[in-house]
Amino acid sequence: MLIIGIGTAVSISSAVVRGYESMAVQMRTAIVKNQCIMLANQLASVDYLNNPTNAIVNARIDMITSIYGGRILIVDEDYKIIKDTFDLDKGKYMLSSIVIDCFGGTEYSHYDADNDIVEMAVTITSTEEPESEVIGVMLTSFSTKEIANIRKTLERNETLVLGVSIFVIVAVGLWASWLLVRPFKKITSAIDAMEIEPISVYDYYETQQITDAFNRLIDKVNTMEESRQEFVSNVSHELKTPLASIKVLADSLMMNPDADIEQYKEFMKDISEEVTRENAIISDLLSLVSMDKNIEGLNIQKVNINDLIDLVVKRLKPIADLANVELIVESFKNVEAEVDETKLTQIITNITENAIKYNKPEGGWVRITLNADHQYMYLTISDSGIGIPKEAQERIFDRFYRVDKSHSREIGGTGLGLAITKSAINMHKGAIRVSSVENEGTTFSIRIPLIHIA
Amino acid sequence: MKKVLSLILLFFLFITACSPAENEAGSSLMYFINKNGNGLDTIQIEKLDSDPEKAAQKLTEYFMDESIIPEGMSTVLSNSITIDSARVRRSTVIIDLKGDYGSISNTKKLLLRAGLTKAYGQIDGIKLIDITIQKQPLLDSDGNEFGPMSADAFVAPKGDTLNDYKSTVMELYFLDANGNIAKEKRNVYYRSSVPLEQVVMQELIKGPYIEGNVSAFPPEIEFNNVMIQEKIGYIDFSESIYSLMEGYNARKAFQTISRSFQAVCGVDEVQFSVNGDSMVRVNGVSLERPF
Repeated sequence: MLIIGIGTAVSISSAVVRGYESMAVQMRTAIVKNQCIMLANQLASVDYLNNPTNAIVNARIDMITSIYGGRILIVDEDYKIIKDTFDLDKGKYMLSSIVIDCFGGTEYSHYDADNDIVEMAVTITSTEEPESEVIGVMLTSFSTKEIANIRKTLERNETLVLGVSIFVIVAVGLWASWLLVRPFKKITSAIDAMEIEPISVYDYYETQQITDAFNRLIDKVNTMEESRQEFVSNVSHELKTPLASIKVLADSLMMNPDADIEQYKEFMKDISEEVTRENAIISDLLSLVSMDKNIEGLNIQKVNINDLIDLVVKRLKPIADLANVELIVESFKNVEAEVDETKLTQIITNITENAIKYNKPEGGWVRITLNADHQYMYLTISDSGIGIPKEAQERIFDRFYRVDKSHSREIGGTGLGLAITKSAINMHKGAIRVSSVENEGTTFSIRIPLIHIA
Repeated sequence: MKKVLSLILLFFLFITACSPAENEAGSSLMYFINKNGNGLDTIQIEKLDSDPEKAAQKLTEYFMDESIIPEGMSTVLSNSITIDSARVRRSTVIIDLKGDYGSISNTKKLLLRAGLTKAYGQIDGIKLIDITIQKQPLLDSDGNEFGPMSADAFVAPKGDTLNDYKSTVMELYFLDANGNIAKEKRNVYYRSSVPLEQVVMQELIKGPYIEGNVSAFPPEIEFNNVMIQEKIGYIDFSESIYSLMEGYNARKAFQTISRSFQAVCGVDEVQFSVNGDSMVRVNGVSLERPF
């Protein structure tokens, strides 16, 4: 960047000097040409070509050559040089293609940069009839040495200014880069030294933004780590609980060799139930993991949702009857959607089963409603149950979270049902929302696209 | 005879096509109007006889022979003008033309006069060419006689310029080994657009050619302006002269310049100044009065 900056500065500077020379020569040429044209008109008007001793005109010619450091030759129609301010060629004949062309009407102007000189040939035209007849040619050569000297001075100054500028640019550039890089070094050191603590490098706005973003990332990592630790703890606990029960039951039988067959049967039944529970937990965990990793994917097909709800209700009817809970289905229209039938069945079953389980002891109702628009289907499962405390509503989709841990064994379940439900809905690009009032009931609202978006 | 002459000329034309049209030793030049009609061009021909009469006769034959005119060029003898005779009288060749000279343009008249003068001017011992038309003097537009002309009566700048080069012998002044003012003569070839006074300064800055002589001032010296007005030379130096002249004898430096100007430019004296101011001292020497 430094080299590009310096290169650009050198190019601009040299272009400015060259531009000055070109512009100055053009301006000087224009001025001298203007003087020459006026002089040529005067030469024609005083008939100078036939009277080259005219003192006024000669004084003017001398003045022009003196001011512009030049030479003027005046050539008459016989190509005879009747005036030479240097007195070198007076009386001779001008055998020049430029002069011959000028008599033909082609005027000439040329800047000879090697010799610092501008040459021009202008016509002297008759003021009498026939007008515009070329009766002579005025040749002017004037020096541009002064412009060249100024250019040389500018180049010297330019070199000096550039030298100082480059020194300043390099010094400032190095200082600025050191200043800019220093906070990043601090960030790097802070990251290297960091474990899970937020870093703080607030040297300027950009580093503040970077460290804030980094700290937000750390917060997320910390939250995930806490979640992971809690999950591992919950999994361990949930897996150990049935095993501990089995061990207690088995140990009791082993320590009591006189136990009768009825006691054996009872204990073995309990052990079997604990094994079933352990198996259910492991199955649910595997199901969650597979959904997290999206290993299985979705088996999407067009499904009649009304039929599917009817099937779920039919399956759950026995346990609803047992809990004295009435299952009500309200379908506002016939809905067909592209879904994974198994997973949607699991979603509806999990929520409906929870609605039955967590209903009031004396019984109640569960209402399943189905509706759809052109884009989504809307499924709500409401109950007249015990409700969910407000502070627990945010966490009910967490794995192994239970609102009332004291009754979990009585109620059964693995604590993974709603987590699995939410994962399955997410896989369908859908959404689930819960609203609940304690001792009045709970409503789960589910929205799933009718057309599956991969 | 004419056929033999044509063959010889064609041979020389072939040679010309293979080499630049310069007057090399052992050959002479023949002049034609160039392709654009705005100047003269040349071809090399066999070297002219040392006998002026024979040489003049051969040149006349060349001018009258249309078969030798190179493609694209044209003869200087336009409008059926012919050379009636070319006689040698001492160091002058008198060329008498025949034809309607008055009807041709001034440009063609110029090219005719220049072509003939330069061609016949190559003859050994010939200094002037006197052109007449049917035994009558050649007249200009005002009715004045051109009279006899030499080849250098025509200023012919080469290339894309209006100025040619001049040669002169200059008498310049430097310092000898003892620090005394010493004269040196040299041939100087300079562009005619450069004022003679500037050429003198440039030559002085170049330094002496004679071994043992030294320049009276350093070559780095810079001048703003050099001019001559009413036989007085004016030289304006830049202010760098103050530092540059340290260690030099400033009085002798100004004297060498003044004497050189007097010898070459014919001035009576030279007034020096620094940045336009003559009321100053350079290395202790006052510039108030001219040198």
